Amino acid sequence: MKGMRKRVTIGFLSIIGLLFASGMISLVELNILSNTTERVLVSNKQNATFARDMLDASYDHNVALISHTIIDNSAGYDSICISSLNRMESTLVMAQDNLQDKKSLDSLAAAIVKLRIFTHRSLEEVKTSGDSLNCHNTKIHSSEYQDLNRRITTYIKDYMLSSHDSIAPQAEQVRIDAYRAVTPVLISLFVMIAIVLMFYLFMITYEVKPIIAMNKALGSYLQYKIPFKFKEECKDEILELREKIETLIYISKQNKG
Amino acid sequence: MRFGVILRYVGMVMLIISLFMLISAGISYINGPDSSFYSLLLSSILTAALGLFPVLYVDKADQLNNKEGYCIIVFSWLVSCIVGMFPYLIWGGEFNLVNAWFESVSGFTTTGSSILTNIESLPHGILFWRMSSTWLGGIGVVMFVLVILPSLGKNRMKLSNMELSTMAKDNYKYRSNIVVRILLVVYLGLTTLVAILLKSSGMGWFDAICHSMSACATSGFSTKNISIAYFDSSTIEAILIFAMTVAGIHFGLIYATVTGKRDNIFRSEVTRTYLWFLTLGSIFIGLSLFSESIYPTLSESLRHSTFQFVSLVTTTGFATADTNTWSSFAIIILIFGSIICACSGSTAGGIKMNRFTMAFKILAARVRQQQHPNAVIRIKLDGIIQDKEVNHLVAIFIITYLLLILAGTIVGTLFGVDLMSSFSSSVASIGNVGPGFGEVGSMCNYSSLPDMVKVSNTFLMLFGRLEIFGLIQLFFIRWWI
Repeated sequence: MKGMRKRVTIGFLSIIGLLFASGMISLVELNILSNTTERVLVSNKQNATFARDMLDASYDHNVALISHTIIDNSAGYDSICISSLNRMESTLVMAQDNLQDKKSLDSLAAAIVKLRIFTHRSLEEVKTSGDSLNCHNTKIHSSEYQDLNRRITTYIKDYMLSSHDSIAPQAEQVRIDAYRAVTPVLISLFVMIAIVLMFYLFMITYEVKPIIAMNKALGSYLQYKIPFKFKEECKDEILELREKIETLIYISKQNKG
Repeated sequence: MRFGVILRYVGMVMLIISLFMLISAGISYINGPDSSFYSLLLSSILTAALGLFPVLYVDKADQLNNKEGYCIIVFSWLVSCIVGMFPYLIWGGEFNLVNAWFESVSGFTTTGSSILTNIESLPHGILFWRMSSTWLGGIGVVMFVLVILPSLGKNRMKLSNMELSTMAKDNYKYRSNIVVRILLVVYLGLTTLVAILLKSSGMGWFDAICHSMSACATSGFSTKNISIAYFDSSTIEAILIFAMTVAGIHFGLIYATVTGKRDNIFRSEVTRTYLWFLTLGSIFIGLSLFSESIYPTLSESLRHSTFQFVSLVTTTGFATADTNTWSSFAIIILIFGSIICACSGSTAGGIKMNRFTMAFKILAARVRQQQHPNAVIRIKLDGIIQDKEVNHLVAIFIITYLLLILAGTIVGTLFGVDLMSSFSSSVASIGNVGPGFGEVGSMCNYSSLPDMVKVSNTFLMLFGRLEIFGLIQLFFIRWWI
């Protein structure tokens, strides 16, 4: 391909290419933004689920331990205590994996370890003494255990609140990302506009202006016999056309002579 | 004027810039790929598309006229600064529109001032792009195209003459083809040498290459928040002092010296003045710092004074000390150095030592003329008699330069910046120096300035880089058409 056809094809292909690129860029950027938003929402939902699971486990453990040490030590409450603790710990590990700042749950982890030690000790004592409702157990429950249980519940609530509070900065980040995501699209549009303007300029300079000038010059020659001349720069087929018209005029002049 | 032809040459510049963006994307890919890979790759593709279109569409021109030459130079610089923003804008971080424009103009004009508050948090790709832009700007974006493309024929001479400083042409006693090659050999050679020296003195390869690019372009961009002070090494400082000093000398003279030609550094009056200026300035500042007990020993005072003075005079802008804490005498000398700057034909900006020497000679000639009204007094520079037109141009350039500093200071103070910061940022911007004093001191950055002041400083940078008159013509649309 050469000449006018080549130039016009280059122009249109560039515009089509950039249109396609702009579309692809917006698709990629929207995809990135969508993934980020989804990640934030999923992470938040997961945090809420973890907090709920840990609170449930804590409640189950609390009921089982009280029932075991105060009411009845033979109804399998000890296994409920241990399984609740295990649930709490495994949920904690999952919650830590889900967090960027893993150290923020260190206090809760330490409290759960203390609770496990306390639980084992209490279960062992009840087992040794064979009596659930004794003064010693009641005293321990009212002092050490209540404090430990309150702390764990508070830590879980804090975790729940902190994950809820983190939505605001995450939403702000998503807002910034949304703004940033638009930038590449805007830049590719800017480049496309620049190319369209250049294409317009080149079409006017190399195609339209010479044809208009040639038409005017040919009209002047035919009407007033003014010599066929014009200043516009001609290229490709337009240059050939000009040369052919000049040859034709030359031949017609010779025939007249 | 043939706009198509102009766009074709500007397109070539875009292609070179897109190549450097691609290299930066490669650096980013090697390092991870880090967060800047996508932004650099996309910027490279978009810039290449922008540059390739006119190159493919418009045929090669036989001969350029003066107006077309000027248009190519000015538009190439402006468009380079615009496309240079792409990686910053797409990457995000601290870069909003004004900040990205500031960083891009500062890079291409080799000013080296920054709006970034935490440079060390930038990914390697963006860091390398900053250095690439400044390295390209150091030699001149159009000159780089002339170096790369062999088939420009007569147009090479036209463009190289227009890209070179008006005062630099005298020292190039070679054909334009050779001049372009000299620039390439000296620039590339010096950058490679300095990178190897910096690496051998304990820097990592990445930092060594980045700092050598920055030093040879006399830019001052660093990969560290506290610039060269981070390394706290006298060997690194000595290497950079050497690099900055050499980068401030006319490249033609360096080439002549290395190849054993007659018109070398040692015979050049301007270079001698430049070297004396650096030596005396450093000593005076060092003595001042020691006498004011800013540093405990004379050697430490001289170490910091030499580095800072060479850094500012060569318009590099690296820093090893907080010059805001220095004595008023030291600050005045540093500001004076930032206005005079290094030699023509180098990568440095400012009034330049050639014009400064000429101005003194014009002054002396004027005094002698008054004493001997009938005497025919000729002004010589480097043994060449300068005609009146050149003297006239020197005077006009210096006056316009000072007026622009005044204008920049007025704009700064108008938007609430204190006088010292406003004045020194104007001096540092038009001279393509980088750091000033006050809010924009050697250990600070330009982030705290209002957006309008940042924009006004970028125009000063462009005025300085295009030696004022190139950019002034841009405002006379009729002249262009």
